[in-house]
Amino acid sequence: MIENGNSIPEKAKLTCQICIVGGGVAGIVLANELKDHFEDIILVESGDINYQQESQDLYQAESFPPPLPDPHYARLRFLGGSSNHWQNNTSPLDPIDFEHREWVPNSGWPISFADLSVHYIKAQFYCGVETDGYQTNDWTKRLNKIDVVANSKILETRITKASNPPVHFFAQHGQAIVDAKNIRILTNSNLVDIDYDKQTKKATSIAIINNKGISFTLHADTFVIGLGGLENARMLLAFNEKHENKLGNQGDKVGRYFMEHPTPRAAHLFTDQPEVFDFYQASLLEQKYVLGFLTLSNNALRQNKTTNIRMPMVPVSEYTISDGISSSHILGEALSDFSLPEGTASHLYNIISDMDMVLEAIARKKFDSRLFDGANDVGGFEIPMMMEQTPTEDNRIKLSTKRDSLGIPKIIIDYKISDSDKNRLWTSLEVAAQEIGAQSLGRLKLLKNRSSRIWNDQLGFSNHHMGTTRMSTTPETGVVDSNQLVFGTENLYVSGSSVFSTGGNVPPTLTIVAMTIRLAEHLKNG
Amino acid sequence: MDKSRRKLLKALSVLSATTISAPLFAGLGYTSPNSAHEQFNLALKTWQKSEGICPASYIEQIGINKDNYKYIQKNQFIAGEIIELDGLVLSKCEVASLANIALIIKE
Repeated sequence: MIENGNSIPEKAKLTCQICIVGGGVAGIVLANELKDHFEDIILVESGDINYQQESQDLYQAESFPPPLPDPHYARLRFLGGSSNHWQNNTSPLDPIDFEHREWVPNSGWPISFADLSVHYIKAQFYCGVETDGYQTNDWTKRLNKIDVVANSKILETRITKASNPPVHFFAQHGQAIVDAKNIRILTNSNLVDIDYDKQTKKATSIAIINNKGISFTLHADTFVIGLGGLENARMLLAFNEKHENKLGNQGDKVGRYFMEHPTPRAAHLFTDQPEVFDFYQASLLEQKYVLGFLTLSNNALRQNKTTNIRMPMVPVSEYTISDGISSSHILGEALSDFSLPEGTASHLYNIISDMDMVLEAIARKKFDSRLFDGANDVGGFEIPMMMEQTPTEDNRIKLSTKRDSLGIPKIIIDYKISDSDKNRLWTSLEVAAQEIGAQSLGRLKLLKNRSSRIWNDQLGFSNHHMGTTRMSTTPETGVVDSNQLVFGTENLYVSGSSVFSTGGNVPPTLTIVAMTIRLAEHLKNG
Repeated sequence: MDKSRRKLLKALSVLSATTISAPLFAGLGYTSPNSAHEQFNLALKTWQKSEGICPASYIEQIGINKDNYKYIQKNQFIAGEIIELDGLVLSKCEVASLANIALIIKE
């Protein structure tokens, strides 16, 4: 049942076997998985059934470095969490993502792909994409389309599936836990504190403040925190200030290794046979979209000591991929500072040789009308790639001295994309470019001369917050163990993408669900 | 707008912009920009930096012709015989051909 936390009386003491904090993807999946096994579960959600600005504002960060999107709106704080606005793209991580790669600092999970593979099957059901897998061969046959790199040992086609209509986790999977007599869902209830017994190493209770400012406590045998990639770290950091870093912060790792999936538009594919890339455009099959994307094979990653990229193929017009328009931005920006950019002559050349596109852009922008209408010509493919980011200590969530309305410190995000990650992206693209030529698929143009824009105003992000309570083998190197148990505790678990040791090059939700199912199995087995 | 119209517009815009803005390029090491011509020149400069053979001799040496050029291009990509031209990754024989055109124009 759903119970409005605003109706809980002051100083009430609630008890249960399992307390799940957070009603997003992880919390809803976990409650579903545990409902037939435990007699008494409470799920605590800060927001309500629908969006409330008051709750959402608790996400306001103290600072974050642009162009990283504002975390205030990158997430949603009500039942269903960020699944209420996700893009529904699902793909599993790759076996190599779990391995220690000596050329990728801090890589390696304490679990393997095999530990998760069985759970990926059920995870598809939760994500609304049926349990028919991600095998490229199966999908080319079912859709009668071509895998353009089927004969390559360097490039691979992998599969994305996305539910249509989109799956909002509470709308889709909430009713089962609302109907369960052994589950109480408390809305408008905010986690603010935790009691921890140093002797038993157990969390004994958590303190909750409802949205009317009334506080009460919740006692449980086991606690699972699933608040998302930023809030998991925020709350653990706040708890550790009080509990002498005994809650997973023995090695000062809580909040560190923050990863995103930057999406640099760093290459264009030119081809005289765009039709062969049909498999890479979304096909609607029953109630889901299926499409291929290109990646480097595991062998290619090992041989070239690089990180992976997810390369979707987006057909675009000459207008969209115009070098001239891009160069005019770079030149214009530099001139406004009374300077000249690197490669000025090359930018001038681009502008002049693409003058029709530049004039069209000006006409569209200034006069809201088309001059030449080059937008209808297919000029090639843009590749808004999703790149794997190396986990580094300095990319981190910290606590501010400023606090939200509940008294919890706001977050400060330190984040940048390292030069070594940028270099690895170019290496991966160079490998891909060579193989695309070898497969006679076209020619890849690496937009290195646009670096000033690619890594700044043109850089996109995926709102995938990962790694801040990373899974590892020891408290010196991570925050949770291979069962997602917080180091130094006997009954406090963390769920969600914050436990990812590395982020791979695919959207994280399917993996969040698979890992939550695995956590549920662990809890059921005592 | 079809491709041929775009090419015409492009040529006209290059021509007019060149005439109007030529003084702007003084001192930038950038003279008389001409769409295709500059690309050929870039190929020639890049070729001369990295290869110790003139493009025509290279083309003759590998025996490229209209029947086998696709096969040779493919094999050069497989063998890693590639050159990056302002970010565009091309096979050596493609760059040699562009560089050779630049030489022919100069003559």
